[in-house]
Formats: sequence, C-alpha cells, structure tokens
Amino acid sequence: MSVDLKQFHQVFIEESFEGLDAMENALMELNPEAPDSETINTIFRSAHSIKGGAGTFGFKRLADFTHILETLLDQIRSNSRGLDTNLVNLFLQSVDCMREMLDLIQQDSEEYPESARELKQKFEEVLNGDSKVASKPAQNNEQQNEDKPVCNILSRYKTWSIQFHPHSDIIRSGNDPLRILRELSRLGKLNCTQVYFDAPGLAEFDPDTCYLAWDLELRTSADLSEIEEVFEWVIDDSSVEIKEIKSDSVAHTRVNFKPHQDIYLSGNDPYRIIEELLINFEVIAIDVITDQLPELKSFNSEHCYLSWSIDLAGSFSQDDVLKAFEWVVDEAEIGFEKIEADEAKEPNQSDAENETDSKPANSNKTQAASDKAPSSGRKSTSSDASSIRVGIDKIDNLINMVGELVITQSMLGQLSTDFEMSKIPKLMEGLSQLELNTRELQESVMRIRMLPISFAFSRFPRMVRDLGQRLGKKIHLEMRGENTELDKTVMEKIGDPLVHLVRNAVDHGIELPEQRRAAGKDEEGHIILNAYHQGGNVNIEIIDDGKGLDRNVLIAKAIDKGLLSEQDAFALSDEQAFDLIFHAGFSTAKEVSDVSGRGVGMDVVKKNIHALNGNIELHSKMGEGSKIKISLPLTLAILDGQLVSVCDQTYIFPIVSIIESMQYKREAVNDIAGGCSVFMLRDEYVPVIKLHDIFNISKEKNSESQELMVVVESEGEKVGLVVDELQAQQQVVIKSLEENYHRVEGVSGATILGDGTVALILDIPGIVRLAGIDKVNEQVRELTFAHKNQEKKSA
Amino acid sequence: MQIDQNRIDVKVQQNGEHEDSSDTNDQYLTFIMADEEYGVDILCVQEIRGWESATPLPNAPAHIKGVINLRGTIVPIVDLRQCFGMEAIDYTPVTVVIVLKVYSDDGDRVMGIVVDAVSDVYSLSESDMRPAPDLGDAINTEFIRGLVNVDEKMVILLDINRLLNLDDIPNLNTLKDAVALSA
Repeated sequence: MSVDLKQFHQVFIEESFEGLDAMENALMELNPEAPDSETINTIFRSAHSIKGGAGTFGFKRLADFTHILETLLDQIRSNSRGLDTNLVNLFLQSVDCMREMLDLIQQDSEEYPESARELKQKFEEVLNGDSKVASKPAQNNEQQNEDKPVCNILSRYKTWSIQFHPHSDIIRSGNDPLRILRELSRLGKLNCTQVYFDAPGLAEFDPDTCYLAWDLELRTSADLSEIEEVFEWVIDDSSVEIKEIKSDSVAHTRVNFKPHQDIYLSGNDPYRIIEELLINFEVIAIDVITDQLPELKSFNSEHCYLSWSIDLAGSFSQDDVLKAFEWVVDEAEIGFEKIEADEAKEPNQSDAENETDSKPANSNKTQAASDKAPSSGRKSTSSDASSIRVGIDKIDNLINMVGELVITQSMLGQLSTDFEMSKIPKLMEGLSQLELNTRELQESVMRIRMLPISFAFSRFPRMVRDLGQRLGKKIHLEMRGENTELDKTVMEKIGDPLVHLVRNAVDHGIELPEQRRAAGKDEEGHIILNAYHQGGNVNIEIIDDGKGLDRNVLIAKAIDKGLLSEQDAFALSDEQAFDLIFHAGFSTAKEVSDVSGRGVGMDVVKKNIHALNGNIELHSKMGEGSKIKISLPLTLAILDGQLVSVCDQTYIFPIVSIIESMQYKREAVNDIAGGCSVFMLRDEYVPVIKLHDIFNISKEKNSESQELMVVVESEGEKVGLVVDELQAQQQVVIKSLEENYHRVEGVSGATILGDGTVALILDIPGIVRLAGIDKVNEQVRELTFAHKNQEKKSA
Repeated sequence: MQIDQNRIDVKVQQNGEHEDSSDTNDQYLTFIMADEEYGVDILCVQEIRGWESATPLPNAPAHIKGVINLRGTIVPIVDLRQCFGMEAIDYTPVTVVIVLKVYSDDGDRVMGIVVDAVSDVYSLSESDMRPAPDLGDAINTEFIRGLVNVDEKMVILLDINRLLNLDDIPNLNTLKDAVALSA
C-alpha cells in the first residue's frame, strides 16, 4: 500500500516552523553559564521532532543537519559538554538556517543553502573539539564572494547597437514602428542615437509611408534572441542590424566608493547601491579594493572592509550618480574621476581576474546581506496563503451560537404556522432573540480572524538581542498584553512598521552603557512593547527610556529644510514639533544622524498606519525617553457607525472619529476670510464644514437652526461637520466602492442598510482635504493661540 | 449558474464556427434611447432590471447617477442619455437598467446603464457591420464597434469595454452629432 506523503508536507512544515519558534524562544531564555536542563530539553525535543519528521518525509539534508544539532544538544544535555555564548549564537544561526531550508522545501526547491553547509561544518568541528578553527573558512571566502553576484549582473547587462531602418511601406503592411520601439524600451534602457528623417516636400507627403529610420542603443540584460524576437514581424519590411557594443575603449567616469567600516550598522548595504548603479548606468567595470582587509583574527563580520571603484560609461551628471548614494553619503566617501579612453583598459582586465577569482558560491556574508531586507517580506508572502490556527474554544463557541440560531429559527417557524394577532408579542420576542443570535454569531466569526498580537511581537526578543549585541548596548525588552487580539490582515500590515519603530528605539533611542551611566541611568536600557484594547481600537505602545527627542533640533532642522517658518516654529506645541519627524522631508539618513536619530522612513510608518485607519502619536522627553503610541481599528471589515442624514441622504460617520455632537447655532459661527467659518468650542476655534456644500447636494429646506453639528477629529485636528439629523448607531459592513467604480474623495467605502439601500461611509481626513481646511487650520491655530495669549494677559 | 453555462456554450460554439467560416454570428441586445437603437454584446449583459433610486455619489459627474445594491455588491449606475449628451428625461417605472460586466485591466467590473427601453436581440455577423465613419478629431467614435442595418433601421453597436472603461466615463456631447451625420 502506498500513501501519498505529499499531503502531509504542509502540516510537517507548519509544525516544524512552530518547533523552530519554540527552539528560538528557549535559546533566548537560556543562560549559558547556568543552563536550565528543562530549557535544553525543550530545544532538544524540537530538534528531535524536526529530525524525525524530515527523515520520514525524505528530506535527507534537513534530517542530516538536525542530526548533528541533536548530537551536540544531547552532549550538552548529559553534561558532557559545556555551553558558551558562542555555541548559543551558533544554535540561533542554525534556527535561521533551518527556517531557510524549510522555506526551500515549501517551494519544492532542491537547493541547499550555503549557510547550512558552513554551519554544518562548524558544528562538526565543534563536535571534533577544535572550535577555534571553526570560523576561519567562512571568513576566507567572504571577501572573494563579496563581488561575485555583482560580476554576474555586470556580465548580464550588455549594450547593443541597433540600426532599425524600416522600409517606406512598413505602415501599409500593418506594422507600427513605434510599437517596436516601445517593445524595445521594455527590454531595458533605450537611447536613440540618430533619427533619419527623409521626407519629401509636403505636396508629396504620404501619411501611410514611413520616412523615418533610427539608430538605437539598448542597454539590457536580454540576449540577442530576445531582441530579435521584437523585430520578428518586421524583418521583411525593414533592414535591421543588431550589434553588441564592447565599451572597453570609451572614455568614462570612475566613481570611487569607499564606505566606512560601520556601514552595515547603519542598515545600508553597499551591494544594493552597486546593483542600483548597474541598473541605471552603463557600468563597464567594477574593481574591488581590498587593501583595508585586516588580519583574520581581528576580522569583524559586521564591518565592511572593502571599497569599490566603479567605471561608468556614457554621459550623466554627477548628481545623478550621487542619487544612488543618497542613503550612504554620510557613511562613505565618494569620489569622481574622469578617465580617458586609452586608460580604461586596465580596470577591465582586473575585472576579468576578479571574475575568475570568485568561483566559490555565496558566502554567508552575501547571504546575510541579502537576507536582511527581504526576509520579512518573504515570510509574509508565504504566510499569506497558509492556514490560520483557530483555538478549539472559538469553534465550540461558534457551534453553540449556530445551535441557538437553529432553535430560534424553529421557534419562529412554529409561530408562523398558526399565526394570530395575539401572538405578536411572542413574535417580537423571537425576532429580538434572532437579532441577538446574529450579532453574536457575527462577532464570533469575526473573532476567528483575530490573532493574539504575540504573532507580531514574537520576532522582537531576538531582533533586540541581536541588534543590542551588535551595537554594544544592553537592552531589556519587556512585552505586555501579548494576548491582545487583532485582525489577521491588520496584524500582517503592522509587522513591518513595528519592526522599524523597535529598531529605531534600539538604534537611536537607547544610549550606550557608558552614556547611560553618565546620565545617571541604569546601564541596561528598557524597551517596553505594550498592547491593549481601548474602545474599538487596539493600542500598541513602544516605550523606551533612552535619550528622547530634542525638540529644538527638530525645529531647527525643519526650518533648515524649509518646512517651517521661524514664526511658526515659535508657536509649535511639543506634539506638533515631534510630528515633524513624520514629515517626508525628514526621512533621509543624513538628517537623522545629527538629530537624535529617529526618522528614517518614519513617514512611511505613518502612511502605513493611516492606510489601516490607524493613528500614530509620539511623545518624548529629552533625556527620559520616548513613547510611540499606535492605535488601530480592531478589524477592517466592520465599523461602528453613526448614521446621519444630509438632504435626505444617509451617510455614516465612523464612531471612533466622533468627539461630540451639538446644536448648530448660526450666531456662534464666525466667517473668516477665505470662505471658511469657525466656531468656538470651549476655548478652541474649530473650522466648520457643511457636508452638503462640499458634496454638492442640493438643499431644499432652509432651516439652518434645525441643524446639528458633529465634531470629529481628523489627524489630530478638530473639525465640525454640519448635518441635518442624527440617526441610529449601528455596526456596518464595509463594502468597497473601488471594486466597480473608482475612489471617491471624502468617501472611504459604502455599506448596505437594513432596507437594502446603499449608504456611503465618510472618510473624515478626505473631507477635510476636500474642503481645503488644511490651510484654514493654520489660520485657526493662530487664532486659538492669540486667544490663549489674550486670556493669559487678562488673567 | 445555468445561464452562465449557456453563455459559455454559446461562446464555445461561436469560436468553433470561427475556425471554419468567417461568418460569425454574435448576438446583440439592443435598446432604445431617443428613438435611436443601440446594441451591446449580449455576453456582457448580466441582467436587466427596473430603475430604482440610487445613492448619489458626492461630486460625481451628472451622468453617474449613483450606486445601487445588487445582491450585496455596490454597482455604479451610468445614465447613458446624459453620457451621450442627450436631454435627460424623468425616470418612470418602465425605465430600464442594463447591468453589464465590463472587462478591464484590473479585473471585471459590474456597471449599470440607464436606457429608455430594451428592444430586441439580433444575431449579427461581422460582415454586416460597417465601421463608424471617421468624423475627425472632434468627435470620438472609439467606442462604436460598428453600424448595422437591420430591417432598414440602423443599429449602433457599442463597445462597452471601451465606453465604460475610460477612466472617467466621458460625457459625449458629440456622439449624437456623430450618429446624426452617419445616418
């Protein structure tokens, strides 16, 4: 009897991932000086069951790998081998490596990660007792391999000279030369070096005749056959000549790129920059300068010892090139040299040497570098299609609800068989029961999509530990409220922004131990991740006790960047000052390293969170630390809405955005120049928007005194919206307008009301934009400020 | 479901015919607007329903009448009369909405068009079709698939994928003139 084992693969992989998570957690807990035997047992058990599973399913390599791991662990378990930090690090690396192997298995790939081979070798060496030699071979390949993928890419990109001279009747044959050009430009970077235009006088001009011919230069990774394919249809109607240009004797510019040693620590990767150059410019040669390489024993794998000289051909301005280096200008020296034609041959030769040198495959350094950025992305794509695990209690709960629903239904059914007027109270009772049941059912179904936030938090202990170790900082990470539940889609989208914020806190927030001691703080920095429910929202806080943000530096920077005028800066509240960091202009490495650090891509974080209908706030105190608070809606599918009517139309406000509602009194409203009105809400001026005005709905009745005003909050600003009537509050299911139509400004979606009609859900920030209140708000802020000053004076 | 099956059958059959003869018979549903007869490919027609009031969209052009709830999906409604720059008329209980499936780059969309009345279903072959006369740059005839004579009467066949896909559905004041000229 044969059983198709394939059907169990997915289960095995999922279980193995869980085992690896358990292993990682246990390793993090492990204290190398005094290992707890139970923790070691946990690690051992995970490794053992992965090995067993891998053996059963015939993943021999994984089984072999875990076997060595298991042998080592077994020795530790039986106290025949001591444990040290190095070994724990090695184990942690092996966890990553096994994850990678599992990923490959999942993709049905036969590949064997290089890091696995190396790790295996190291483990074997540890087993054989000479752990000191263990790290040597890896370091040896490191610098050789550094440039290997670059050379590969380099040889992929070629420049072709294409002479495309269509015959004059090409258009009549149904071909369009423009289409060909378009196709070509899709292959790579297309330049037109010469256009021939051979037109007769206007009198003889025939629109169906092609008088044009082109000489083109195409820079592409495509090969000859691909280019020829483009011309496949016109080859009979034109003369086409394709030649490869060997650009070794052309005058070119040499860019000397000398990164500082700690470039990796700033999160940059020189390799990526070179790749960018390869795409955007015509790179003829790349030379690696290795003279900075230290002796092996002082080699630090986190440092960059290499520098590059890159030869670029063609014409471009230095600024264009500098753009590629935008992120690293502070971490590297960049120089330009013009090289004349004859000199150019030399680097080419050395390039060829390099190519032959670099035969050994990927080292773990290039692997690590390329893993850094995409790993999180890859993870999310693989988990996208995967299943979610639902607690059995949730399922039981659901079954109970359905049971009740069935009972209510049969009760109503019975009622209807011999219905008489006297039974109306009973019918009402049944219907309210039904309402209750459906709501509960809906809630439990929604709860299935909810996952505890520990799914997003779980990666942080490891990340903080690794980063802390690398930067030489002592950091204690505390996580609270890990069982707070959050919708799966929200969870997936919040992961990356959270990583970013935590990394910022570690990198820029927490100071080095000496600095902390000097500031009279505990040497160990604290980062707290806190998640909790509040109303219909989930709040996530990232609190650190580091150095905090310097308001004055931020403001100075903003003025410098032209984001702010000096007068405005004076009126800025602390909150508004910290808000500056979310500004797009603040998001380059340069600015941030001489402010207090925060801000690399903070605008991206903010954008992501706003896309989830969430909000982000930042509080900070110089020297005491910062607190970032993110609030997110529980789910994206259902919204608590306040129904309002405007001119017989029903609209829905998200309840979370409503602060209060009140009678709209014409007397209390003042018009300020610019066509906007404001009213006084306690001691604040709030702009007023009339919904029917900005939505262009014709208003028939003219009884403004009857109107109501809903005060809502939009991105930290209060706005009053005038409506006719408030109706019920209810939960609404969000339907997309974009599915069949396109985005409508001021509307975030639609829903279907109880009577089957469609009602639009309002997007408050969109409405504010629509009304152009943004600008008005500034005026209002000034007004409020002046008002407060006056009060102070009078007091 | 069954209807869908039939549609697929029709399609397959037509494709089959296409192999051996150029005389394909596409079926077109025609409708009347301002005494002129228009046709759309019947395979695009999802359903025909009576007019019911739609929820207007803020700041939408006049010919977008709003959105309706079609069994849980939100479907925009286009008034083809206004879209073509004809005089708007009051909707009556016999005013008809044709719900169409439009194929676009980012997936299928469902849209409704308001017309005066539904007329007939014709089987037309490609060879019966005349291209719309070129009326110069001022008049956009891109969305006219062709003109056909049926019983001495001209039918304007619309390419709804083009018509309803244009990012903003155009307000085609000029189409009427185009039709008048060609007739």
